[in-house]
Amino acid sequence: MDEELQQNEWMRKLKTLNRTVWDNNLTEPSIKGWLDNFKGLNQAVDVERHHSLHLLQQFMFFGAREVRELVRTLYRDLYRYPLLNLIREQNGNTLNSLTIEHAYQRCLACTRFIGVGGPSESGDYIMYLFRTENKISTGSFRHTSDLLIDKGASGKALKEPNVRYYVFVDDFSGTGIQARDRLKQVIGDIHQVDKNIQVAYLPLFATSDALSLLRRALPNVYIRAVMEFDRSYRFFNEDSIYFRSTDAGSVSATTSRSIAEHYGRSIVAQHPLGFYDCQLLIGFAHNVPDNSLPIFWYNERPKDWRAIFPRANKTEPLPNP
Amino acid sequence: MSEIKNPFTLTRAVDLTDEQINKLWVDLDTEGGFFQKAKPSSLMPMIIMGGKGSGKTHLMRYYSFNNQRLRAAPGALSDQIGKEQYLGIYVRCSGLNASRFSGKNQSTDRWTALFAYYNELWFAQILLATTEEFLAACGMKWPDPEAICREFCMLFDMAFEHQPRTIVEFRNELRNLQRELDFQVNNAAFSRTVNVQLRTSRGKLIFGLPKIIAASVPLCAKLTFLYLIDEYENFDAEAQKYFNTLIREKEQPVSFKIGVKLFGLRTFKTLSGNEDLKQGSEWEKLTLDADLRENQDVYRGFAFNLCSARLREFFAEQNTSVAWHQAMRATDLKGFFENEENVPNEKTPWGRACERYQARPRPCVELLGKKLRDNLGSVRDLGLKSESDIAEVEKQLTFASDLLLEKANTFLFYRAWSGRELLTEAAVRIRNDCEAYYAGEKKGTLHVNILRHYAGDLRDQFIRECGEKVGYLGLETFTTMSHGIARNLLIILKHVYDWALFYGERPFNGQPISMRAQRAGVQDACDWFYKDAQITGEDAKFVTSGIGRICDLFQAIRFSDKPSECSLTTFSVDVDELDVQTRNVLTLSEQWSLLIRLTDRRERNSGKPVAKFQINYMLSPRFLLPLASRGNIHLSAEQTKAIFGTDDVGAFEQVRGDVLRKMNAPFFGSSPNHEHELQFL
Repeated sequence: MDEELQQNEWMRKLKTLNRTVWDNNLTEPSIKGWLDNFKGLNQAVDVERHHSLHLLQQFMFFGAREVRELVRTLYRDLYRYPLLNLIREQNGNTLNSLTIEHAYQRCLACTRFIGVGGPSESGDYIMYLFRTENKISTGSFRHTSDLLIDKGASGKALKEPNVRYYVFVDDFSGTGIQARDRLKQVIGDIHQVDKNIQVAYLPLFATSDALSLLRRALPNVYIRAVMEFDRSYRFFNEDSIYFRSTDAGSVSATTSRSIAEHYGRSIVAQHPLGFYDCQLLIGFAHNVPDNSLPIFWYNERPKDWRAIFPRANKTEPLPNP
Repeated sequence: MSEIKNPFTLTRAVDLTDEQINKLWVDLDTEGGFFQKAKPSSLMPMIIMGGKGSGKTHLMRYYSFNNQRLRAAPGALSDQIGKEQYLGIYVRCSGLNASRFSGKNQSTDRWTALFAYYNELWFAQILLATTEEFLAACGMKWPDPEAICREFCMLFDMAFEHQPRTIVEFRNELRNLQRELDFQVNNAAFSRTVNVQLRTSRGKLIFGLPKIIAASVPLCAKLTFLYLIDEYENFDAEAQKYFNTLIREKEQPVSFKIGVKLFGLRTFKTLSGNEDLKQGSEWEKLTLDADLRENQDVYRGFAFNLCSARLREFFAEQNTSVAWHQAMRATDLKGFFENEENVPNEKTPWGRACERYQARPRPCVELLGKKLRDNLGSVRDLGLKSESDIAEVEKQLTFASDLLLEKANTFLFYRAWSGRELLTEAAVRIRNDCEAYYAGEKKGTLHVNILRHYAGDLRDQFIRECGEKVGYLGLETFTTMSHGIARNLLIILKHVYDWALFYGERPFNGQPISMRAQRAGVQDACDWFYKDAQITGEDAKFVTSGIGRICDLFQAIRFSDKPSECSLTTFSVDVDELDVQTRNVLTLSEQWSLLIRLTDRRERNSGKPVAKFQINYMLSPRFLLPLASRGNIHLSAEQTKAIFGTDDVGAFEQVRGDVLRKMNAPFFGSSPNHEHELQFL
């Protein structure tokens, strides 16, 4: 298939993706606007744009509908079902639904769900969806800062001593570093008070590397993700899933990498292929992780770059007056 | 995140609410409209046929009670129904799961009896529910329900354990009987038996209840109780036999309208001695799409109104304040699509092709020259002896002032070549006629007839040779493409609308929809039509390959040097001479609306009756075929088999090669005297 035909096919595919998955976020002009970023500074212009169009098709976008479904899955598969199993085991593998449901409601009453991250960050948005989609009472939600009280010399104590389960919910963990830094202290404090309290860290999405790091850094914490991305999801990894398809046609992994790296460096010098070299092609309706290739999401002045899936970056804290 | 809606998303009437059925209803601009055609108050049963998406369900739901109610002015329902003289009882066959009534160690006779009994119970409940809603909507109650119930119960051969005293109790009894039967039938696969007593006979409730209601409820006294039975194709032959019998044994005040896809009528047999149901005396037929195809102006108006109704509803829902949305009339719609009439010539496919080649030799002349040079040996006899002779021919045929005339020149020259005329003289004659035609002296020129018949084909040839895309643009074109099937039109518009949004346009809201959005939308719609026909059965693959082959053949002829036929989309064949397999494939193709059977005719020479088939115009863009039908090729039984009746690609290639050899220079293996062997009419 010649390149023009292939690009027509790809544009057709992009249109389908746009309608079915990308929440109609894109239009052909916006795609072309993004392609205009590639000005032939690394390869011939046509080659760069051809490879970028291929790259765009591989982008995994989780729209609002999918994220809603995933928060339901998270609650059901990573919280409710494991508890139900436990309850059944503790009750002689009972099938009595009343007994099970009664015990489950008791557990739920002793559970607090906490979003990871500061107020107004994406964790808050996910927690809102999590609460509304799963119809959980607002009383079951807390901020990290509301879990413990400082008793001075006698150390810390739990604000709610009857709570037995702390479930930290996150949208995405690319390296695990941020989650580790945010949770290590508080989880340590909780276990200091009572080492039998159960703590879980449940992101919607996480890389295998992030989960490994977290499991090492946070022992005795139940860590699971709804969707786990192994190394084959790193775009330029040796066994990357993105170059297996025959649909890749005349696109080469080496050229793709060279283009992504070149332009990535021009906009995010330290992390041209995504933060900590994660090389991901993932975005959500509410934001795009910085672990994805910056050529997709970079949207900051004064750089002259048009993002295709703009990332709402966190603005640095204001200096004290 | 933005959820962008499309006014043409809903293309299946089953997905519409009753309100939408009513609001999106479009009538025919003929005397009496659809009412006159469908005759809902007539006591003569009717089978409403049509291809997928031809509007059967929409029509039947429109005439059902739910929509009769919606159409009535507040407080005027009884008047409305009195005026329409019927009560529409809508029944969708797919809800019955009729395939349950077979096998499982039971004889066919037993299943037939059980099926009939089940339908009595099922129809009776729907009838009573509809009547009850009708009375309630009119603010009335059943007069003396106990007496009516007594009469209802008399329709049963066995007394109920507890005699129902109200209509609700009676309906509950029916529901319980149906549930019991459901249970028995559903479990027959395990129990291998159906232990049910039949409490009433065929037709007793279906005909008896309306009779009692008409006699007891003054509001219903003069009404026809019309059973609108939709999706009849869900019934197998045995089940249809039962319904055919009901139609035959029909009693006043009951009538039937049966909606069925073209492929769905499995038998006309009845249970009355296996006799056939007689069209004309026992039932009449309405074929929706065929009817609309025959009245193109009516269909065009209908299609435009359909589009207009969708847009009006859509923009009303969006609360658009732009006044012209409310004022949008069907006649305004053409302007919302770029087409050759409303864009500058240089933007049209033809204009772009002309512009591209205005200052350099056109491909048609260049190709002709090349063919002459490649065949210098064989054209020597025709007067072309040297390179300079060929150059002179090229010069004579070149006519930059009008590129369509130039294209016609090459066509005429190929025709002369095929006729083994002296080509130097032919070129001069063509040139002279071309100039005369250009100067306005059209009469008597070679070009008059050619352009009258072949203008469209020659234009599209030229556009394609120049590397431009043949356009299927504008609402008029989409209407023609839809070929009498409203859903086809909606699907084209849905895809066009989607593409326009993707291209950043604001369809129906300012600038006309671009040509490229239309082109892409048409391509998607045609792909859907071609690939998603989802024909089942062993012959399905032959249908797909056969349609692909016949269209491929038409395309090859259309773009040949000297097409023998203009606007070719039809073929004829003597069906009686075909083998069973090929005939089946043709029948299936017709039933799935991939082929449209035209009125049978007699062959010109032999006078033998032949069947004539036209490809569905939804296939035209995919194969670059015209949206018109003038020419026709007659296929022999062997040729038809090679196209439709075999998976032997070689046999088809042979037929294709034989046909095309005679239409492409240098016309090997053919001479004008043998042209009849091609079997063109």
